[in-house]
Amino acid sequence: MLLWTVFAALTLVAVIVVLWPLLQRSRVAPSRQDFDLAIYKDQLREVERDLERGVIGESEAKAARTEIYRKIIHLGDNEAGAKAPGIKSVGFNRAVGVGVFALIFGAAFGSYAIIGAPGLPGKPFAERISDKNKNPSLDELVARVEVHLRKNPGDARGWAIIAPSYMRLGRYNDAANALQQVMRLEEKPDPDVLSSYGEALVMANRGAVGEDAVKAFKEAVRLNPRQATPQYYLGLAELQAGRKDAAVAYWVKMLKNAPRNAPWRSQIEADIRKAGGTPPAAPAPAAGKAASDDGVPDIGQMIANLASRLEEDGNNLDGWLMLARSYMVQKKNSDARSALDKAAARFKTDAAALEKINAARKAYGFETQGAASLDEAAGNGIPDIGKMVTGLAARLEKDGKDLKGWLMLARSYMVQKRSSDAKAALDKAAGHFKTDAKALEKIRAARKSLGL
Amino acid sequence: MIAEIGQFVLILALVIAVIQTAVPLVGAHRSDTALMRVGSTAAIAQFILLLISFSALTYLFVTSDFSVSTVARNSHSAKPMLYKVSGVWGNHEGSMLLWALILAFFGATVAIFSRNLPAGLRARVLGVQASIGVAFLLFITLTSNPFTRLSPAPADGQGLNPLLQDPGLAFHPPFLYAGYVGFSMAFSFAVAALIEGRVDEAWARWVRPWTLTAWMMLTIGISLGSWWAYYELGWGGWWFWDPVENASLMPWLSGTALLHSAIVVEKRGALRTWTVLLAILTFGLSLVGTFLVRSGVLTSVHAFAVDPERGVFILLILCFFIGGALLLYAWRAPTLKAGGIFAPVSREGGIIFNNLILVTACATVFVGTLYPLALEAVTGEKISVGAPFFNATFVPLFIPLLIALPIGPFLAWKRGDLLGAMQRLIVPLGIVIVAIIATYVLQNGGSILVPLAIGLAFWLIIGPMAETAFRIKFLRVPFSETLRRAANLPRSSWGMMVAHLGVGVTVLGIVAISAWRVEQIIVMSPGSSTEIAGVTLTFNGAKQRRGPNYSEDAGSFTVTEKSGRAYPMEATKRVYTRQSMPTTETGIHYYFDGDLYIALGDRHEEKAGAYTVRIYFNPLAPWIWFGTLFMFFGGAISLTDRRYRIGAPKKAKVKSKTMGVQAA
Amino acid sequence: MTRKQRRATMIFAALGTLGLAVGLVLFALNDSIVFFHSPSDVLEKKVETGKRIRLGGLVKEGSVKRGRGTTITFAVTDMAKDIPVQYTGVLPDLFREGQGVVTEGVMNAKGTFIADSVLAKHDENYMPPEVAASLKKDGHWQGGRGEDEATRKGAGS
Repeated sequence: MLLWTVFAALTLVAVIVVLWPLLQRSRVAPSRQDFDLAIYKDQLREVERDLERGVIGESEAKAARTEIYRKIIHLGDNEAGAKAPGIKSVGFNRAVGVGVFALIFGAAFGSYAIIGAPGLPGKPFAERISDKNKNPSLDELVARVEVHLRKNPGDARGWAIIAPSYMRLGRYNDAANALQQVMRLEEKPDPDVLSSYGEALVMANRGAVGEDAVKAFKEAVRLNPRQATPQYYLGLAELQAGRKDAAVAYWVKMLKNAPRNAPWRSQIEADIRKAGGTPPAAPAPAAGKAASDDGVPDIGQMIANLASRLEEDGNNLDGWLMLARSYMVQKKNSDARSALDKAAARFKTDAAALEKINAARKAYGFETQGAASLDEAAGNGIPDIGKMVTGLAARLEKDGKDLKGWLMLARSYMVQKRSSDAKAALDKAAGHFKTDAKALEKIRAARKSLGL
Repeated sequence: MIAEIGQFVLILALVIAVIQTAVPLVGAHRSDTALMRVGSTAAIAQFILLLISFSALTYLFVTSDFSVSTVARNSHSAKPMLYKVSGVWGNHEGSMLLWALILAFFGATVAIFSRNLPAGLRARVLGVQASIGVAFLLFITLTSNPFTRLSPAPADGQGLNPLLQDPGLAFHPPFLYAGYVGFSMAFSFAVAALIEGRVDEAWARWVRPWTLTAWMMLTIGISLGSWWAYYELGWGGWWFWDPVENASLMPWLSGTALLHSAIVVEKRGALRTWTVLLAILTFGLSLVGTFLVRSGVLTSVHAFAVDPERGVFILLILCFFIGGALLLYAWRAPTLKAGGIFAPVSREGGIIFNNLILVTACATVFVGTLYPLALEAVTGEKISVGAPFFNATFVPLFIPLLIALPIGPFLAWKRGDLLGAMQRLIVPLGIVIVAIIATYVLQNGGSILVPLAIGLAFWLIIGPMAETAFRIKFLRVPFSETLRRAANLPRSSWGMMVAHLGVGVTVLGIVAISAWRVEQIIVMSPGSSTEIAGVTLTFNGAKQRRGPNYSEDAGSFTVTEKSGRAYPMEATKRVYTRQSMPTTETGIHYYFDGDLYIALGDRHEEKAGAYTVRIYFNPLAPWIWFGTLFMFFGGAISLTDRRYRIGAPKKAKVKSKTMGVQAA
Repeated sequence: MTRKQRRATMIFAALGTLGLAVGLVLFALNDSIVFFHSPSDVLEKKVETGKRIRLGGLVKEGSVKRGRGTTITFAVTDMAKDIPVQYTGVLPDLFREGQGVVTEGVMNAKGTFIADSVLAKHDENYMPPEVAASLKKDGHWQGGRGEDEATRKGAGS
């Protein structure tokens, strides 16, 4: 309402200002000849000044004066038929005034109705990231952490927390930068950080494993030879350089070290075969149900496998998101879009999932559909620091029926190196989901992956 | 709320521009004073509304309201405040809004400061000016709405193009636009005069201040852009004949011609039709410049928008206004009265020479800029027309103009005395010859062209001074008399001297940097040093640093002069994290006789801590931009000349409440 | 001098200047324009050695040898053919493997392109993906802005 009042007042003032001359009585307007005469008189004075200063001689001055006098004499020759200025018709002017009034109000409000968005409140940055904003979206949480880090750039933990969120949002360069800060601030090199850093570089480079990334992965392997992710990428780098044998060698080594039920085993085996190698005789391949979220990206055949698996069993949101991301990496934008559309159809009743799908859509530049309310967004796996973790914990105490929230809480605690809290959180979650086998399975998986 | 007010007010301004077009033109046709005055009030209202709209957009940028698409795409919460503000026009939508704001500003100045304009002319000028406003405001609301909202709003913006995050470039566009748009006043005056059917001394006197203002702004705008390219791009060059640079140079050249030919119309009543044509063409070239930059047909440092729809829209605006004006010109120009007669050797003749060369030079720039586009469109063959083309066409054309420049002011109106003028220039000529010989001796042989070019620069600097000295009878009468004459000399004469002298200063800088630049590209390890232009440069190594929205490798150098004085210098390579885009921040130390210029290159992969470093000594480089400052202030001094403040008939001061009657 | 004579003098002067300008332009267009070729063009059309051309394409992945002195070598590719390029100087900030580049210079007898100017171009593939995507989304693709840059030697006149 306030907005419309402001609009109306502005319009009214504008109309009055514009129509002011029509509301007034007329004033005398000098004719064109008066103006010309004034200028010629000034030119005459100028000739006198020039003469006096010696810029021109007497004869030149005389000629100039003659010329100006001639112009003065001919003043008005053309004006014979000209109308003298004044008010011609009060009635006509009134009609113009009414027309102008109607046009300003009609056209301004009419056009605004088409292009304006009167219902949308403004969202100044400072207000949005302040703690008063109760239900921040993932983006906003990230922005809060960013503000915090801008003030405390030496907070290694903060950088470590924000990096995975960047990855999630597709801001790979920012992620790489954040991890670089972590490495700079932490004295001891951490193979996980190195590996994540390499991965961010690869993603930022659209899947190409560059020199810096290779360096990081090699360092990570040196520090922890059993780590799978860097090995995978080192193999990928060899493959991209055209050295299939070397790639196979890395992957074979990786499979040998891998736990028998590693969810990515089947994919790597497929990769090895594609590269012309033979996967090592391994224990029975794990049930290739879903690509887990441990960030092993897909190429070619693997994407196809993932796609067909999802066609059969579509209840795997992370799988869909990963599929879309993989398509984007391969620049198959329309495939990515249809994957997200399918996912959205599958999860149309799940607001949190829709939010994620929409975030992905936005990140890839597709228009979003049926934007889920932001309230739902807070529980979708956002790493958090300090207060935010506390806030999440408090919410879960009140309403424990949020599995993802619990998992995220546990993960956040782990990042903060509070493993007993993480354990407690998972225990509580298990308590809430006693009857839900699937949830319990997930909680178990989380325990394992967090090393509890 | 603020965004919506900005949006609404923008629409309101469009509606009022429509009224400002229609009502005063009808009023002028009917000679109705009330309707004509609606032009003035509407012009003021339109300006204030656009000012509100622009302030709203600025507020949105300053508070980082990312629910506005323009802000989200071009700003970032971590950006320093200066660039939040300059980000308002650092993007397509905002810059077009600034364009419209400046257009309305010029309209409002006509409404406020032109009591010395006849009512009919003023109404028509405001009507024509508003019609340009309608076209651009339509363009903004239909294709480039700065207030388009996003819902849900992204948490943070995508940041401003790092190349634009620089103080020099922050203020380059407003000046440039003030120049481009200022020429719209000359255009509006020309079209209004054609509608009225009269172009005379009075008309020229009114049109000159606006043309001069536009020219001054464009001069500074181009100069800032060139200076920015010099220190930011890291290649030590100051003009690249880049199509977008050319796009701003063309209206400057024809605008300079217009500035001079309008003097002839004012003083002598000659060159009327030519001046009107120049006014139309100058604004036409401003629109061509806008079209080239906005349509994305050229890819360049400056082209924000690559969007065919917008390009077509601007092309339509261009065709409508320039085509329409030229039709009107073809129809009405033959009815304009011819002016006074003059001999070829006269002040008028000199200015015709000036116009001829400026316009021809402008045409060569036009050909060089558009020929590649035309060729690619027709044959598909891709070519580049660069500095060699312009050096072979533009420069030889310009040299006769520069030689003639100091002579022109010595010629009298109507019939001049070339021999007499040369006699009065005998002292400068002597100094020039000494300068040529001295340069030749000092540079130890080499091309004779360089001393000649230095001589030309001296000629351009000393010639205008000699003219003023002659006018005030310097050394020929007692000093007190000279002072009195100096005080009485019209401001426009002083302005002319300063501006013409500025041309010489710029030429001197150009010649020196082109002839004597010293360049070194070497790999430097920490602790190593090199000699350049008489100083020793030591590299102290580089370290990593973080800024608010970037991280950088900062190379630190120590410069030791022959005298033993030492000072530190720094050159950095930045990477803006948001865009992951690197930029070079050069280190420049300004000496009176030139710049020491350092750009940090790649890190050496084998030698620890070593970098490729590019070092220049650019002799007299800053003089290029000093010269343009002289030109600017010359214009400013002329603008204060009393002639522009009078011309209002005494009749206007008669207080009478009766209906207007003609009192001739 | 009569009005007629005066007009004739002026028209003569105008035509003279224009003629001079046209002559200069034609001369310069013959002499100082530079044609743009892709690596395939260069190899197929057999561009003569020593003729100034612009060579454009992508910087071949893995071909850049830099950081070992002031001379840099890399290959320009159009995915069909490659041409080795040698350049002495500082590369523009935006120069990267796999990205668009325009170089200006001459072919030498050994089939190496000796460049004295390198322009790196930012194209859509080069933007951070999310920026590119979001810009494309609202049809406000602004890829051309500010992403064109060059190093040249002695081009500052």
